[in-house]
Amino acid sequence: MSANQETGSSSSLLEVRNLSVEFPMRRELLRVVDDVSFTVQRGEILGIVGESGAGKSMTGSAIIGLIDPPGRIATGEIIFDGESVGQHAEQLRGKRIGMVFQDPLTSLNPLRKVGDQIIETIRTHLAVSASDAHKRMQAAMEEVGLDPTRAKAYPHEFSGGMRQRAVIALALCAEPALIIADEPTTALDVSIQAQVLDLLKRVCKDRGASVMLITHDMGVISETTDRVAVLYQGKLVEVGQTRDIIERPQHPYTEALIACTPTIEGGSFGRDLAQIDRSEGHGAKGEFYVREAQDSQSTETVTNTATANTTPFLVAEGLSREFDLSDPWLVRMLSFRRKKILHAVSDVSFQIERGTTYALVGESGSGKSTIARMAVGLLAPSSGTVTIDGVNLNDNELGTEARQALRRRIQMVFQSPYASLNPRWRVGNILSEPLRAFGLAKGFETDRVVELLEQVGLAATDAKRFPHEFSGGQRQRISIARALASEPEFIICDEPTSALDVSVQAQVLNLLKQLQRDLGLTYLFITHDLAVVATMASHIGVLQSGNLVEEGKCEDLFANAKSDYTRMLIDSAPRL
Amino acid sequence: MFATVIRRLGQSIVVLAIVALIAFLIFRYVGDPVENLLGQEATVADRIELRERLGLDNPWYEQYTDFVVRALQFDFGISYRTGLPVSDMIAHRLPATLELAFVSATFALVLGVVLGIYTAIHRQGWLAQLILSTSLIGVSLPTFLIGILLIWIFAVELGWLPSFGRGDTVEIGWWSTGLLSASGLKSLVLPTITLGLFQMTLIMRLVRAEMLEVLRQDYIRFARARGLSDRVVNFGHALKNTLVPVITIAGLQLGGIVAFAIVTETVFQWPGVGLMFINAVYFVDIPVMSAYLLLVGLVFVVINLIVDLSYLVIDPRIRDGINRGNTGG
Amino acid sequence: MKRFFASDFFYDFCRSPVTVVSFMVMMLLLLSAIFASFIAPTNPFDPASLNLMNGFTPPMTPNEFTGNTFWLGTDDQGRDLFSAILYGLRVSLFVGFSAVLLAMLIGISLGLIAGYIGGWIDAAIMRIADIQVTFPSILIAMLIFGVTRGLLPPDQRDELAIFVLIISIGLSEWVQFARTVRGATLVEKEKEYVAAAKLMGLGRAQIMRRHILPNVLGPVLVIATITLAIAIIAEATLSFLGVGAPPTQPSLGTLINIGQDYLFSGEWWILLFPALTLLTLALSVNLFGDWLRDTLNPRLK
Repeated sequence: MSANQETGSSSSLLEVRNLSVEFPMRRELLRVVDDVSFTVQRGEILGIVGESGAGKSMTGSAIIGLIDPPGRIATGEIIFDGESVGQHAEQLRGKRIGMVFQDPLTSLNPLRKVGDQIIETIRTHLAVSASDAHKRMQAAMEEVGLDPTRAKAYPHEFSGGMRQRAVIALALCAEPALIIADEPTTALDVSIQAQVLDLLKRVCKDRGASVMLITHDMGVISETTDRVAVLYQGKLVEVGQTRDIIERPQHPYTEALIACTPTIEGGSFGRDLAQIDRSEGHGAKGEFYVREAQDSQSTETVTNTATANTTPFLVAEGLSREFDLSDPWLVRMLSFRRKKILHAVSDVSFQIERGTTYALVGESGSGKSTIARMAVGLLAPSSGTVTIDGVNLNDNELGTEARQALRRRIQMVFQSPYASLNPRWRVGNILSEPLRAFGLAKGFETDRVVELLEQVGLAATDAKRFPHEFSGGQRQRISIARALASEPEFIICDEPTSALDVSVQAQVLNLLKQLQRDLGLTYLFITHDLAVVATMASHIGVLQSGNLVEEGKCEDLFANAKSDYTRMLIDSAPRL
Repeated sequence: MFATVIRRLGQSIVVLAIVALIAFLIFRYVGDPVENLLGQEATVADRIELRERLGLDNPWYEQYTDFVVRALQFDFGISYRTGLPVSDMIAHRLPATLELAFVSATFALVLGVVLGIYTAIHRQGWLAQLILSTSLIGVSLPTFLIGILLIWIFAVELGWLPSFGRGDTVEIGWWSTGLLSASGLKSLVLPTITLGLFQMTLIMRLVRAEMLEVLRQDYIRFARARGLSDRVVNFGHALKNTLVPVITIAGLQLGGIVAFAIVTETVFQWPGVGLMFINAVYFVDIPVMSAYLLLVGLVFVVINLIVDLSYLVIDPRIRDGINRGNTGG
Repeated sequence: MKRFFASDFFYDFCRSPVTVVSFMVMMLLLLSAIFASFIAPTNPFDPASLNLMNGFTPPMTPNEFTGNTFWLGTDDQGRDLFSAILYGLRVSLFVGFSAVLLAMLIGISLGLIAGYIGGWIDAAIMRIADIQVTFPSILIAMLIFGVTRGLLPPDQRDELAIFVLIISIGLSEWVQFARTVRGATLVEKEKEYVAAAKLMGLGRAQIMRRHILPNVLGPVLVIATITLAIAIIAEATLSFLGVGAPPTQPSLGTLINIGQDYLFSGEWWILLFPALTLLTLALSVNLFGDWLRDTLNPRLK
């Protein structure tokens, strides 16, 4: 069953009817949620999925009445357990509806002990004695997998996953009937994410509570929810049983969303993804069309000159990097602490063939970003070498000119679309800076800038604009254009799509593959997302805490992972 | 944590030493001590004798140590202007300033914090807006103008309160206090308001800004989402987190009271060390200036130390060595 | 230019009548000060133009001896108060602006260097800042003033007083700029566009100047406005105490000092008008600075 609207019955726990949320802005009235209706049944897990701007977080906030002004609920009704909520949202908060936010670090008061915060919530809603509350607190902590003896700890002493468990404990401790979880695992590593989602599923099934899970990740939806509602730009596009929607999506957007999502499943290696191309105009809403996935040409080595070069393009040999995090010596002496050395990267060696894409995969703290920076020359290794086409990057004998010539051949595309472009510079300047720095295109810089813009799918007039006028995906394209300006042979992509919506990610990844085919580029692709690796790379190396635990060709590794860690990563990745 | 305490103490001592060095340099090298003490009529023999007695030809580090040692014994030399020992002058006038400063600081702190919290919680209320607008005037009015205005209204026109002096004081040992007499208390009112008003408005606006900032944080939102009442959220969660940064700046601002006391004492002819200092600057009375510098330096360093250490008590992140300071040191 | 008028910033500005008024008042005072010599009917500091018989004339009343009328009255020396205020305003604003500029120059440079280069330079600069901030700026200004006076021969003290004043106030206010700029620099230098610039082989100075500096100047504007108000009040206070602008080149503070003596004997106008001018100046700057801070802070909405 998939319908655009859903009518509730009296047995629904939560019923949302024609909800609209507006934000009066200076020039216009922004409708972030537009006439949305759905229900949450008792004991089920409902997913709300959509990309950024879909209005999913707003819907969650509207239900418990926590919309920040000037936003307001324009129309609609929210009916909880048969009663209209209206202005009484505060009474439901915590007691009948619990909430879990995305960022566990900022969700907890840093100055109060974790146990105290739980006890406080318990005593606010349940009339129990102090000692009773204490016992309940310990029970709550155990239930989420935390050690109750750590109740006297402060939030900063917990890891991210543990903090999120504490947040879940806080949401559950007053025994609500519904939990609204707003992107609860987006900020966590994939292995922790799997654990937290399992936890959520388990405690809710145990208590018979319902969950409204808000996320952008189709894989999470597939593995966790019973039913799902799909939002696109504030409107409800489709709703129904999860398996039905994923296997037989009715609405074109849902279909496109699923097609865009990279997967690990066999047969998808090297294929371009489907794309959702928005119509012209920056940040235009509404119309879109779907470009079907195509079989790309083989991602094997593309040699286009007579030199059948069999030597690898990049050779990393015994790379290591330590960071000294010790306190100043005086402090150490007086508090008898030892030196704190962080071994970010330990003895990593790999090779990249020309024209291929090598993916480095790892969770946070695995050292992949550090390796990226060593490979490009931003950071010197503590030991080991990086050799690019025979030249050692960190050779102190290199003269300025030679070094600059080497820099020309290596460029980088960064993770954050917001921080990688100087907000005060026009795009034209951003793109012409490398031309000036390397002394290229003298005399016809403007033309070259236009050429670069068109190469990444932007317009010549975009050169006059500032970065903030562009969307995230467009900014990444500008970043890519900047990287191409010096006509490099090797580009390091450091999580270039982690901050982008799934459909935008598809566009950018397709662009990168296109450029590789056209220009014969070699890529080092850093990511934490195995599904993206399956789409992009021919070879893969798996990093754990600074060590390279496994590497090989993609198809081989995915089919037959040898190390436990790799297997764990593959299993934890949510799939459709 | 012990290590942090030791480190802070060490820093304070270093700062004091530097302050002492500056005071010493001013004392010794600005103007000519011999000239000032003997006047122009003195003979050459007299000058040489004085130079020797004061040790003015010794190496500078010896003179510096000498200076510090004597300072620790409260010997600050002789005033060029009055010929009296500086330490006597200070001892005589210190109680006046300290009493004034203390009462003003309490006034500024208590009222400032209370009003700051009120205006933060009731952001849109008309009373809050009124208080805010008036506070802007408080910040724009220089201390001396407030003093003059108050004198004009309350002393000259209305005749309720005295316009200068301390009133009757009671001697308790070395200390003289004005708190124990009616006229003493009355004399204290206007200067206290003058001195405290500026600080109060500053503290109030600071507390308000910090609290508003804290109320924006995710954990406050989450606390509301858990159903905690507004009162609990405001006072149980927001308040403590607000106080942490407020403490530093409030501490430093209160140091400002000691400085602005100079102005207040001038306007009200209050016989404190501030007035003494101004006269010293005007008459280029170097020993008094340098002694005042040392004294004030000590006060500020101690205030800073207390503020830093109180951070340790309140913010557990700092206790564990996670550095949140501005200085990165 | 057109973009500015269409921007959100300008829009917010126009929507707040208080801010518009305070801005206009500021401009009015500023222009009066700049063009004082053209606007003022007399030059009150030219001894030749003074007539002692004009002294103590109430505002808008003809003098009993000479028959001259002065808008705001005259002081004990027969100086036209209106002119005196205009010239005093000029001194106050000159000192205020110059001091802020000096503080900005020192503070921004040191903050940028400390933030970007880090290491022992950062530690040293921040130590000095910490020590200085332990002491209130008024005190430091007084101290620098007192010491400089001690070092200068007596006859030059008055002449150079203005510059000593500027230096002492400027030197006492740089820390706030330095700290803010350093904080912003620390944030910006981790951003990826800086890494991109390094990959192009740009040197440290180039990166600091071209990339980081434009992005850290935002909060500086707010601080500058607020520091201006502080500097004006500091200067007035110092002059009032007699350790600032001398009577030969009086600022508003000096005028108030003079006026204080005559307040209780009935010539209230000698005090009131300079005081009102000072208050209006400080208030308008503060109001504008306040609004600026609220608008430019994206989170306080």
